[in-house]
Amino acid sequence: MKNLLRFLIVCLIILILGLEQATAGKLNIVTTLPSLASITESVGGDYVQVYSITRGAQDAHYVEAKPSYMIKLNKADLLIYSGLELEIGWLPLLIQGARNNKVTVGSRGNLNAALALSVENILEKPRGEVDRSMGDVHPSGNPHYLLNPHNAILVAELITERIITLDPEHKDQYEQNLSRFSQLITNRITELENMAAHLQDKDIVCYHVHWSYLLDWLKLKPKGYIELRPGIPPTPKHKQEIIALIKEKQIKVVIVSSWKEPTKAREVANATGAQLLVLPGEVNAMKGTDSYIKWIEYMVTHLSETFAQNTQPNLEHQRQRERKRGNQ
Amino acid sequence: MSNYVYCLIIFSFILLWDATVYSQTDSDASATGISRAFNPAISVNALFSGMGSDREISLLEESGTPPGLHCQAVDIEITSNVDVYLQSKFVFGGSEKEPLGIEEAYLTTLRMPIPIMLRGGMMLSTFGRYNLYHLHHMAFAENPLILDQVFSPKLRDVGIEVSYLLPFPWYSDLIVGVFNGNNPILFDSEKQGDFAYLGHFDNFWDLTDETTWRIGCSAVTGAKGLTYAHDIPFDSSIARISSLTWGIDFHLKWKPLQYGRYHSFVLEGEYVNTTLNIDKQRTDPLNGFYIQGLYQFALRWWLQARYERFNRTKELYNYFNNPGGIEVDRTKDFSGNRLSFALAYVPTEFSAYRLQYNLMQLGEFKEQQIILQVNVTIGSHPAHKY
Repeated sequence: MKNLLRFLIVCLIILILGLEQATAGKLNIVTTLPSLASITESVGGDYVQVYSITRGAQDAHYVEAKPSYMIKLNKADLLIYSGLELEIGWLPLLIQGARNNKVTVGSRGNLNAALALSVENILEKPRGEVDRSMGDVHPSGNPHYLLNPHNAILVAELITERIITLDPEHKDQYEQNLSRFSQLITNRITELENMAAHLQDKDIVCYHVHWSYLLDWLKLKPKGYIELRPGIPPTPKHKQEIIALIKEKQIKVVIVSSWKEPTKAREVANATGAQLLVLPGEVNAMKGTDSYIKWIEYMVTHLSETFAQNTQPNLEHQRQRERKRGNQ
Repeated sequence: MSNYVYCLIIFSFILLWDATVYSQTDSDASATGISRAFNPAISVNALFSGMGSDREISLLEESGTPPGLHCQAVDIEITSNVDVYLQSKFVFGGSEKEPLGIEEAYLTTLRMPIPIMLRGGMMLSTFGRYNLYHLHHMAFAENPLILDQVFSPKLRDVGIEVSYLLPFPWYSDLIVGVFNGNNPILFDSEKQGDFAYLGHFDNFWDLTDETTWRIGCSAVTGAKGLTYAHDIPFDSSIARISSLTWGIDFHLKWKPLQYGRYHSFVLEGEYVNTTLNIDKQRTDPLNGFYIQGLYQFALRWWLQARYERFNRTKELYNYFNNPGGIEVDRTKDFSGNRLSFALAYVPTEFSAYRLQYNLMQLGEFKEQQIILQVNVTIGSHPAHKY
């Protein structure tokens, strides 16, 4: 019995030591979003190990503070989060439960990526008082700023700066990675802006107030939202109002995030003949979006193609409606 | 003189400019000029309920939901970081029957030189899962029967807990605590130095990205006084009474990654067992469990079911209160059970409506109840633990 106990204790010590060694040598970084993880991997290269708490398919607003995330944070050298209260419902619990001084608020290992943006670049910061009758309003502004790739460059610069502070030994490598990433993004921005030039000033309807940075960048005009208020499903009356609006303005495209069940958005699209486009809410949310650049490319390409296909009036839909009237 | 006038004009401009800048930038300042920037997060939870019963006098009227329309509970919660090192939480609770009183007032460390966390003050002890929940956080309208019976209704005391995250690949949290020992059922000793000691071991695994499994075990022991519940004459031959309570809890949760807001399923339960040690002789136990399943079938809708049961041996009548305040045959063991079904409508994280049916049996007494409960939260309420 004693021998068995000794054996178990030795196994436990080996296990613990082995785990400590497993990530030695690399900066252990935890991000809250897959998009932040992708950017961090691009600038960190071989010297960082990155883990994203949320998966692409998950709506980051409603992640739960699973204790297993505390384990990830417990071993982290750096925590990078979106900020603007996107993670307010779960990240404070994880930081406290992690018991890791490196990542507590105010430490060098705690990075609010929103600090890369100047105040005027933050969209939809409410003016005046906010209250919950307005729905799920973010009092600090819309936190989905990485939907504009210009902001990704700013965020990458901030992340690089912080990684260098924590690991100055590989400063040159990190700066080269940043330069390469920024150049790549800049080039793709030019190409994508050219591709999406025809979207300028086009009207669009969204399910949720999520896409503001993307629409702002591509100069698309959001004319309405299917949700009654942010986070609140539409009432039948509101749905009818949106349907009337789409018909009146002849809006061709309705977009919904891959996080949301598309039933309500599909009903609106079907009632109006508009095209429903499901866009990936995050990196890795859909096939072909496994990096930040691919995510942005996917959204712009699909928006561009969908609008191009729908520039002509939807004759098939008109015919269907005429047939229905005839039957009545 | 002219220099004096120039100085006054320049000084006035500086004052005016300064005042303008101040009013534009310092948006956190109130009209009195006192900053509100560091005010704590304050929230209020309120539970309103209506209950109908097929009994004239409801069983568990003291601890359960009484018949009629009621303001079941109001909790005011104030949370803030004290400084770099500490976070504080204060919860004041009351109802239409009880005036607002302190439910919890404790401090938690934010950073320590070693990877442990300390929690100290007056607080709900980390025993199992539901002992840590305030009423507004519970899936059903009332506290589980077994916790009512053993803790009457909560293990809440002044003390300190230390938790240490064991260096395993999975979440494994070891908590030990020492408390004043003031629970009316388990530790009502008035003798100085009669503390209660608690241990809790919590383990959590991600079975998949969508399914998690948690299992914990807890134990608490401490000295019990010689004040009997039913005025049984004091037996001077009894030198010392202590109680030992232990429990296991589990929690299985499925929540899909995509559309996780629309569907989920929880299966959870707890078993609690308590015995008294009377002059080194252990009594037969008071024990019981609850098990419940919660299924979210749409964005705002939940279907819930719970079964719970407790058993008490006749040996314990002299030491514990009567279950449900009813007169029982002291020559026999006693048991109670409750079966509950609920339909919950949860439009947002800040309001919920629950329609619940209870079928309860305490000894030979039976009762059916219908409860409608409204649960609202205003203000800035910290997120609940997983």
